[in-house]
Amino acid sequence: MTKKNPTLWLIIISFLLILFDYSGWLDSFKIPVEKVIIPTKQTVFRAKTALQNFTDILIKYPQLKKLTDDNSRIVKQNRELATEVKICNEENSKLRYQLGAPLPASYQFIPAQVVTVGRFMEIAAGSKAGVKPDMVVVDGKTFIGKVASVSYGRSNVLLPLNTELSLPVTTSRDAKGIVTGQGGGKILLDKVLQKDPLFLGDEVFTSGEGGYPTDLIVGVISHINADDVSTYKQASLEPALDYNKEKMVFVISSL
Amino acid sequence: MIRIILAIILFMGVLLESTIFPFPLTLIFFMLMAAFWDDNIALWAFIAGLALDLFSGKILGGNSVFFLAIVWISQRYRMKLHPANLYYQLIFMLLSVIIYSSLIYKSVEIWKLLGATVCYAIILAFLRGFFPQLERHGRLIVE
Repeated sequence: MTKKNPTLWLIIISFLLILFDYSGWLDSFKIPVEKVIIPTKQTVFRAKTALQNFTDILIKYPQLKKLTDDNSRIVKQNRELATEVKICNEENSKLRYQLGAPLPASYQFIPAQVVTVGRFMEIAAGSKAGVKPDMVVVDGKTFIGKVASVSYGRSNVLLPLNTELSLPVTTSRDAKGIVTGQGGGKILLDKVLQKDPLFLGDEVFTSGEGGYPTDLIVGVISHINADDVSTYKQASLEPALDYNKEKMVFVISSL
Repeated sequence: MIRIILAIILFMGVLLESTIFPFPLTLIFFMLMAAFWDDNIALWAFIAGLALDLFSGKILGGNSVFFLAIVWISQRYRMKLHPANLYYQLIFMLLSVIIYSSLIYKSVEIWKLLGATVCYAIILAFLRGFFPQLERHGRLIVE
């Protein structure tokens, strides 16, 4: 019977194995076998995880692609918004500065971004924004120039460096004169009477004549041309600010 | 050659069942083997059971006893459990899997059972169709 059907014998051996294993007699055999089984199972499990991840990626590919596209779009939007925030912050601080300037409350301002500075200062505000020729442009309490020409979206501002400008001014010692461009990027204070005092470091303000607002800073006297023979005295001015570094200015729309 | 392939499939069943898929795969693969193969099947049941016990970290001999019981029943009722008797084969497989799942995994999942039954039937039909030489010689052929 045993030769033809070993099943019963094997069942008996199996029961004996169960008994021995319960007793712990097979531990010395099982421990070395575990060293082979554990890495094998780990390999299988890792393969399964990798396969699962791969199938997950395949299944979710359209979703992942959409997310990637969304991410790219959001990154782009974020960059744009960051730039916009930076511009807004600059604009805000400028506006605060402008509002804090000791100018009459009746003044109304049109903020304008500076496009370029050359012979004229080109600003990104035109007739659409309400800019008109001869309006005065300031930054805080500093005189920037006068609007020379206006198009729909842009305007050209005549700077004190320009020889075409003729700006009535007064110094901190009440000497009256006319500011105009001297050429070569210099500002000239002209038509100052010989009797009027001029000193280096004196500040020069708009006098309020010729349709300009009063008390806007134009510059500081940096050089005096003393000539007793001439009817008038002249002086060179250092601009109150660097026009090339201006990013935003304000057009006074209502005096 | 076919037997080596079946043995590899059996080992894969042990590996998958003990690692990632808690379902009586080894039992099902073994029953497929047992349906076609008579020689030393009890020894294979013993070895497969031991391998599953070792890989599952269970008491040695537990699965062997179950597999050997399957062999004993299939030998006892060999005429009814011939591969050609698909219904008997399926019922026997289903009962075995339900008892095994209840004892070992403490749960019986209907969908897995249905899936296993369908797969078992397909593989059985496939093996009978493409490898007729595997069938036990002349058991049901009574003309």
